[in-house]
Amino acid sequence: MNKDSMDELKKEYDNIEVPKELNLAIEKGIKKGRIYKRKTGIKSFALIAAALVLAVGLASAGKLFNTNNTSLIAINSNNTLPIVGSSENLEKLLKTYIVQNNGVKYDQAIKGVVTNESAMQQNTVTEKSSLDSKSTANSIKDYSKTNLQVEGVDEEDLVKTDGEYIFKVNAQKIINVIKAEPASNMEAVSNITFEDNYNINGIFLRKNILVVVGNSYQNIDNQKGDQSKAYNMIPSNQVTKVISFDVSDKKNIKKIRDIEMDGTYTSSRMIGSRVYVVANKYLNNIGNIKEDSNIGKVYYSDSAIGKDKITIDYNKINYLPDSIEPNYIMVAAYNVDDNKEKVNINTILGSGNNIYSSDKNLYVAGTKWTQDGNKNAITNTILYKFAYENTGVKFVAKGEVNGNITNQFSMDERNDYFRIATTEYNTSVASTPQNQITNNLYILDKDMNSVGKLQGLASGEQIYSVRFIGDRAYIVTFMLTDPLFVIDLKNPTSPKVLGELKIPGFTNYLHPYDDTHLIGFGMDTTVVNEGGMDRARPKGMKIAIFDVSDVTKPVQQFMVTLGIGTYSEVLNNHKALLFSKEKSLLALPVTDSQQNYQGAYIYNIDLVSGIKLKGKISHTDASSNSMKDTTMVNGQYSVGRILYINDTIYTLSNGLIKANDINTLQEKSKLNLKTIDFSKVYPMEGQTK
Amino acid sequence: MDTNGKITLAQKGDDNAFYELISERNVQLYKTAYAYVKNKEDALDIVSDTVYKAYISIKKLKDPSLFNTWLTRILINTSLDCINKSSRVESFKENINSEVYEIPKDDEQIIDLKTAVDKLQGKYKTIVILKYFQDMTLMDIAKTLQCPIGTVKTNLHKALEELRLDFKEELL
Repeated sequence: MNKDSMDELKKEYDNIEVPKELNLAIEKGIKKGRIYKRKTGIKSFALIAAALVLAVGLASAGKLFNTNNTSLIAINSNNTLPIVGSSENLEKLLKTYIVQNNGVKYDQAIKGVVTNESAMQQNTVTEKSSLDSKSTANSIKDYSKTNLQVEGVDEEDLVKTDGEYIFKVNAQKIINVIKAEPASNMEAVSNITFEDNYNINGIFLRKNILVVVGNSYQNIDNQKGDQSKAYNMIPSNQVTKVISFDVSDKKNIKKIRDIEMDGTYTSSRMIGSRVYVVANKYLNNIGNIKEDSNIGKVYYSDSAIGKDKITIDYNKINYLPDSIEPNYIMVAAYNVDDNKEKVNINTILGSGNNIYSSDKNLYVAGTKWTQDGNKNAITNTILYKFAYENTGVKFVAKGEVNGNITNQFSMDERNDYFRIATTEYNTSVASTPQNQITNNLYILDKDMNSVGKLQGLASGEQIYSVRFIGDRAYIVTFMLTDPLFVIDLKNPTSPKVLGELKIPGFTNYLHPYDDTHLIGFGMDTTVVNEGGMDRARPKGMKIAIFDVSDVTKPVQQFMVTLGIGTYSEVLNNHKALLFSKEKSLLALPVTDSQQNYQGAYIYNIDLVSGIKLKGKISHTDASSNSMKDTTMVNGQYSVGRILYINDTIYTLSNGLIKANDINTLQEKSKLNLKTIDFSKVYPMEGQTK
Repeated sequence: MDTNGKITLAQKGDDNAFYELISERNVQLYKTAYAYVKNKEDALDIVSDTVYKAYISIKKLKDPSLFNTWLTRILINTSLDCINKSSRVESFKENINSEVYEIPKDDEQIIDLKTAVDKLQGKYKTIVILKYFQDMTLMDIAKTLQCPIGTVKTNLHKALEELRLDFKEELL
């Protein structure tokens, strides 16, 4: 390569299109900063009362909410969507977007800035699962599965097992196939490798089919001889790629199918034998669509049809008249058991990065940036509901609610009702900090019309975690303390707050223990005074059991802290958790930056003695490097997933798999895994700060 | 009003001054964020977060002449955080492997270089973005990253090696 290529690349950088929302994003940042300043100034006393249990009964619940019923913004249901039809029509549609874009002036920004807090973090989005990968009936294997949001709706993960073999995604590039049983004699059976331009996001396992999902960089031939395409490379070079393997013979694994579709991989699910993959394709350079009719085109390919790329017909692309975005949401569906049945692709003009799936419907949530009448910036959540049909998905309706979601757990479906919890930043600068951030819960019917809502929950705080369980919602908000709200949803048209618990710290992930108890994973905090302002400082991780049997008085029944400087992937990815109530087993990967320790923490959990550390399993002793070496904590011997098969606990890092007795934690055996040793490629030094 | 004056006002709590300071640099902020994450939503979030962090901490900025480097540094760190968070890749997210690149054929050069830049480990990617996309001098990069110029040179050298780019004169 030479310097000219770099100059070309620089040109692309210069040509990155700046979206209209940029000013809104800036305003949002300023607004959030203001709220933070005021808030921390005002709330100084609030927290001292930490550890206090405050029960709010039904009678006082009214106080929690402001009565101001800002209604939901335009919720439509529309079963027959218009189609894009042609490049010319797409151009027209996008023009409305461009016009809006340039027409909006933000000169008064500061006066009316609104910060709609997008608490929307994309952490926990990848999902797929292999619930059906359970072995046949004659097997009595007892083994753990990926921690899923919805039973029966599998989410992709980095590790899957069938109770005998473990499949592990290694460094996004390799899949290690390990014979795990008998545990005393594990065997590295084979490694699946991929093209250099492929990065694996996760896998599913269904009987003898292994499904790999990930991103691939666009093939060169797609761009050949097309000058304008060269400038497209930075934004939209990614292609989502799904590959199926027949793994019935572990020593001779065969690739049986591959499916590609334009766009960046977003998330996926597996229900029964069907895999559903969501991707987002940004339409770059829409200003030039007239000159380059390729801009709006999207492609897919399926080895069941042939090698060629197939252009998706504009007549098959739908749009929502009131929300045009220069972006396509693409949902691919296919049957992993049937390699004759063609992939089914549904494309709609829109965008969304979080997904929730029940066994019947798929919801894609995106952020919509707009302004209100006073030019205050507003962010809403747009919801695209698709129903699972015979061979694919069908668009059902669009919904829109105020505020932003936290992650996939902010959404849920039960008895045809969709429930969603959001954090919203209010628009009026004149309002006090307490009502500048509020939280909402909405219940939408099957056509995505709002039928019930709670607004103004925990003003001044933002949602950290949500869990819907049956007729209840549990919501944790946080600013300086952590209120856990218990909300009754039995009547969809009138959700009610039943009770509230205030404790120090916050909870990032709530997991059901049983019908009346929840496990919360979060951070313990301490309040420090900085220049006259109180701030919450994280101290380290905590795990707690909440007793919600008396819904009006939720209680923190047990709590353990893991020490200053501790952190776990569980805090932003539920799939890192191993929990089995039957086995009283709780295990998670933990990094302790104070002690320079990384490994699995294994707990005994029950409602009698609470959460008791049984022991820790680390892989760092396998390395010859010193413990101080940061690559140890973050590198190839960092335990990422923990699972069990029968009476053995398996811990997996990129470099190693260890098998330990589930009761005594005594090591049974270990096995090196093929990986890519980044620490050797790049010795750590001269770290940028 | 000049930049230093605006900074002084912003430090005293003048939101309009702060807004102007940011607005003057908004495109640069966005493009840099985009170069890291390659998608609009995340890039906007990064800008927003950067503005938020800058807003609540501008008082701590002692020397107004360092405003640009200070703001760029916040943006870089926020971008790297975002990459780390979103690539739910096991524990190390900085993913690079010299083995994965083959010697490119001529007509594939630009695309391969682009892929290679995308795959660069965070600190190397940062240097490439600052040096080649933003045309910063090595001294400015050192100031921005708050590290010795020697470290910048070392890292740039490694980045170029990784990209198989042969322009040694850059290091002089």
